[in-house]
Amino acid sequence: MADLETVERVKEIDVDKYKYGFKTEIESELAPKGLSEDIVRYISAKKDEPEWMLEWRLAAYRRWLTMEEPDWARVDYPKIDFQDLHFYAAPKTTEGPKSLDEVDPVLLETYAKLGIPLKEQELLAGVRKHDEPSQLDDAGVPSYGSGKVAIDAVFDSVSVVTTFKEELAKAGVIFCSISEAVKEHPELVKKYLGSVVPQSDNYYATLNSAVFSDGSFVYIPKGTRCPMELSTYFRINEENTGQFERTLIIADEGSYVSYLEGCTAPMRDENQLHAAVVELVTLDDAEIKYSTVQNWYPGDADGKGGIYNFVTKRGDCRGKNSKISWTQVETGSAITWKYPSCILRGDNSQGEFYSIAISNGRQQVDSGTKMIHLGKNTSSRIISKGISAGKSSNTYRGLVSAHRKASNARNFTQCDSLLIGDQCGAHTVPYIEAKNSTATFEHEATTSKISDDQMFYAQQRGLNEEEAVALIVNGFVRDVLQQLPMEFMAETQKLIGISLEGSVG
Amino acid sequence: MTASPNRTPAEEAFVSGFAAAEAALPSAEWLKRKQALAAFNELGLPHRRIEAWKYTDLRNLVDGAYPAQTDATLVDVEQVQELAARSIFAGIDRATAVFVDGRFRSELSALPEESAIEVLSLSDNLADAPKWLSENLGSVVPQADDAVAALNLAYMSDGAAIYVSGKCEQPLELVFVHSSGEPRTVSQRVLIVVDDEASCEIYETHVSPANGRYVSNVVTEVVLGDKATFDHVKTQNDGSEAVHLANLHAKLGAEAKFNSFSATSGARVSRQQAFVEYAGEHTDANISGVYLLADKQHGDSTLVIDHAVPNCTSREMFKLVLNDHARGVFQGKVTVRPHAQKTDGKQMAQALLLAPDAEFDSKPELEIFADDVVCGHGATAGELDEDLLFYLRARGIPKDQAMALLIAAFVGEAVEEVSSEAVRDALNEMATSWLTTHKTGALC
Amino acid sequence: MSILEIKNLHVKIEGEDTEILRGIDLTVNPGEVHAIMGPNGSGKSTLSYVLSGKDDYEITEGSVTYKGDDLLEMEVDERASAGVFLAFQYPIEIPGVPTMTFLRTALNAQRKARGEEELTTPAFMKVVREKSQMLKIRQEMLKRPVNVGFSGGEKKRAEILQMAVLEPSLCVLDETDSGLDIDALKIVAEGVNALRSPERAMVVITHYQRLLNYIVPDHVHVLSQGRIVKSGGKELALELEESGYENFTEQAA
Repeated sequence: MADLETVERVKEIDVDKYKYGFKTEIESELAPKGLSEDIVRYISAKKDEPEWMLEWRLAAYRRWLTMEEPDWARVDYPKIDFQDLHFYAAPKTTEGPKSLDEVDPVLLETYAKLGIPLKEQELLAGVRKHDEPSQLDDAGVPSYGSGKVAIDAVFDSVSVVTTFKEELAKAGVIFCSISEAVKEHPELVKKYLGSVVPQSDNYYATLNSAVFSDGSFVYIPKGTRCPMELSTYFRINEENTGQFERTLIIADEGSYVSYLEGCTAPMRDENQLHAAVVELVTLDDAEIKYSTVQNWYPGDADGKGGIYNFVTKRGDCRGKNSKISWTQVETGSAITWKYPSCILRGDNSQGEFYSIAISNGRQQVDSGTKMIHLGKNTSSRIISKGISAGKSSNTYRGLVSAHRKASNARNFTQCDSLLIGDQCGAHTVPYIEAKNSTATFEHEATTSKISDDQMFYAQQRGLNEEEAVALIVNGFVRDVLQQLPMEFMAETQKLIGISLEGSVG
Repeated sequence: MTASPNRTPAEEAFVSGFAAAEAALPSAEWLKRKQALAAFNELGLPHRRIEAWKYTDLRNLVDGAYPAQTDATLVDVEQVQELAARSIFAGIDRATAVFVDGRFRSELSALPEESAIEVLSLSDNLADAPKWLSENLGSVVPQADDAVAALNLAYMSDGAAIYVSGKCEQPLELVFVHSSGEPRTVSQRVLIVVDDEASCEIYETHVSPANGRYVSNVVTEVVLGDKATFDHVKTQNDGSEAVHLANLHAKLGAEAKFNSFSATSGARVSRQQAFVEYAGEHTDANISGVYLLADKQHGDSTLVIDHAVPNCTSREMFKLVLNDHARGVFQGKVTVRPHAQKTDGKQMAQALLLAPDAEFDSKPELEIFADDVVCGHGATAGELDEDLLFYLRARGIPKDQAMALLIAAFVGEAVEEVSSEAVRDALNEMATSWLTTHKTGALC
Repeated sequence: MSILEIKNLHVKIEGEDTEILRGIDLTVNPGEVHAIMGPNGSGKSTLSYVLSGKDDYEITEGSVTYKGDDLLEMEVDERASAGVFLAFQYPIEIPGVPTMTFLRTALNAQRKARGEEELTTPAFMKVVREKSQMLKIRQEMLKRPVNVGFSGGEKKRAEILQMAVLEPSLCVLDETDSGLDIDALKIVAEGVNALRSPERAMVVITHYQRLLNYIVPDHVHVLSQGRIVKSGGKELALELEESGYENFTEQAA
């Protein structure tokens, strides 16, 4: 069924592939171009931050000045001129967190156009039937047929609104922008910020620590199952700006949360920088399920424009029996540099990484995961599906390691790559390090193209070439798609079809 | 040459010792020793910040000065013969070429008598080298970015140059014997040129008394003509204090068959690199090996398979048995270049960890630029399977015997890749005897 | 003297609380064939594993005596050499070990443990050839690694071949009929029947009565929730076939 939808969807597509490339006309306040201690102070002041936060940022900035941009990834781009970027941009109408009815209607409209329903009632259960298409379905971003989703909407450098806050507060769940958390929950932020990804972790993470603008903060209290999906939607709008999102999610003992993020940006000729840091912490018996659909502007067919996406995502299974599961669908960005990882510190903790990475045109993807087994009886699972088309380059890079004391560590890794056309590249670079004899690691990787037999079979049944490719690719990524929240699956299948537009023939 | 303040004693000795050594080494105008040393001076010994040497840091592992061996040492013939007799190929009818401490020894060798194969000592023939030698030596090995290969060229004292013009009946064994003595580096080189449609079977044995402290640096170049067949089996049983650095570079013609197997149980540190380059279509390459390591041995196998042309296959199968504090490293990179369509490449590396402190690091890598390919790799690490062990024991086989049987079977899967049955038997026997002598820790 | 005597056997999985066997009593004499029947989860396979000595189980109470010795004190391979044979429900695949090598190693290890001479290769080959013909096992199959690439039927036949070669005193057959079509079932049953003798005892564990049409038992026991809830002659199996296990599961609860 779902596959047929994809096929229908592919049929409808016109030449304009990237659907989210419009720009919102809204007056913004910009920091002066460039990066210096003054700019760091400017950002901190704009956010009305306490002194300790400013000091933390400045320490990161000073550290960053001593670091060099890493060059080990298989990505190639001109040197970024950090003095030619705005490190802060915010719609003028937005100052501080607001309630829904205070948000600038232009912004609400923008999110509606992106398919992001910022109206709480739109999402109330029973408003529309499960199978009935919503007015929002067209946009290819999440729309939940049933159940509620709380959304934090981040526009350039600021969070413009967070929905369902009150209802979540009743359950004890804190869901707000990180800027707000710094002020409202300093004890939690101080305790956990930088505890998974230290300030000095890597070039981009350190840069982020100095200039991070906004992002989401989530705290799930002990024994609480978060009553709804949480979601953050990131939008870069302003020209020549960098977005430096910072997200921190803490699942206290015995809690559970499922979190989803989406991202888009206007089509521009210049490249834009997105350097995010996401930190997850699970305490004893807690679980975080983190899903991403990354659809930043990928640039045009000749490689002009597009987002540079340099992201550090890491989860720390700090407590015993805890679990962190990453699911990512990467279809956008000119360059993706991203390795959502798990530190399996607690005994019996579990890490998962499910990934679909699609590259087309001139896109360059270097993505994968690290599973660091430290505790006893820890297990991890990696399923990665890479699809390269056009003139793109798609690399899986991963590390599985079991330390001396990680007795009975278990890992299973399956990395499959699919090539469409002979102009692209697909690479697999796994590192496997077993320092413990009781560790059991199994790694398997394959690279192939869509078989002629499958294509012939599908075409003989009446599908055209592009439909057949979409159908087969959706089958190829099935294991990962199934990890996504239910209503999101169909949308993602459509997105896959769209991303591979023009890859055959 | 400017001395770098960061040089290790080993690097320092290699650079400063050259001038004196050069005069004593055989020379030829076309042999660019000086350039090779300059390249080494530029690069230094490979270390862990160089991606390809991440797991084998020679700056650390080569612990002190190992001056180049230039003169022929006095040889205790009986000891050499006793060592050579340890060869697993001893029971097989074959010709031999014996090298002791970096020098060819004709009186200890039994060179082939058939006309299909010609074997020359490099040191005796460099000055007046036949065209096939001077044109091919160094043609397959890139010096500029490989410090170990550069060092080999700068210091190589001897080796074998082999020209195969027809189908050889008798295998040839190259025996490299190292005596004990002062720490030193022995650099040797093997060139094997196999004509179109010719074939040969080459064995390689590295052996030494237990306490020899030396670096053995061997570069082997293989050039296969169209439809040539090459079978190669190497056993590395260098002394427990030795460092073994091997570089195998092969360039394969169309419809050629290349089959290379190595069994590694010797040396304190070993790194064995194999580079395979396909020059013609419909060619098959098979590289396999077994590592049997104990104590604090460090064994590294690094492969680079370069599919530059369409319609070729590559197979790699490596099995590592790691006991005590041994560390096994496997890196295997398979590249499929643009237009190398219909490439079929498969790779498997499996490690059996017999003791809690054994370590296995693996980096299988695929780099693919053509779409119509079937490529894959697998890697596993773990202990012996408890269910298998139970099944064997439930049939009455005692635990240690059951374990030995399972380990032998594990190793045997790689040995299967060797074409000669007699050699397979000899290899399996060698593995079994290793298991018997290393029945420590988990095996007790 | 009985071959096997199980008294009040209680067993749980190591590290867990629930008992799987909750007081089994069973006496098996030479020459007898006992069938143990029961629904899924009744503890049938656990019983076979405990008899053969698999780790992971903890005996909390009771005893098992084999030919007068304490079976539970013996190692897995000691039990096998003493004549306890388990035909596995799911025979294990052993890559790289040819079936022939495996059989010879096992037979000679057992002989050695019993203080007997090892069999010469020709003598061993002769034994295997005879027995495999009876079970319609091709010589080619014996060259392949143990159970690797064997069909379900081939695996079960290979188990019976091992039993025939090793000549145990106590044969425990764990669901030997599962996964067999009727022709394969007949071959396997014939092989088993050929091994029936006044000195040898068999414990046939099965879910279905079907197998017992071909291997006719002297005694039938119904196992339910870790206990033997009813014992009888071969007619009990037919009774079960008609009425199912339901009546018995209630009794056990």
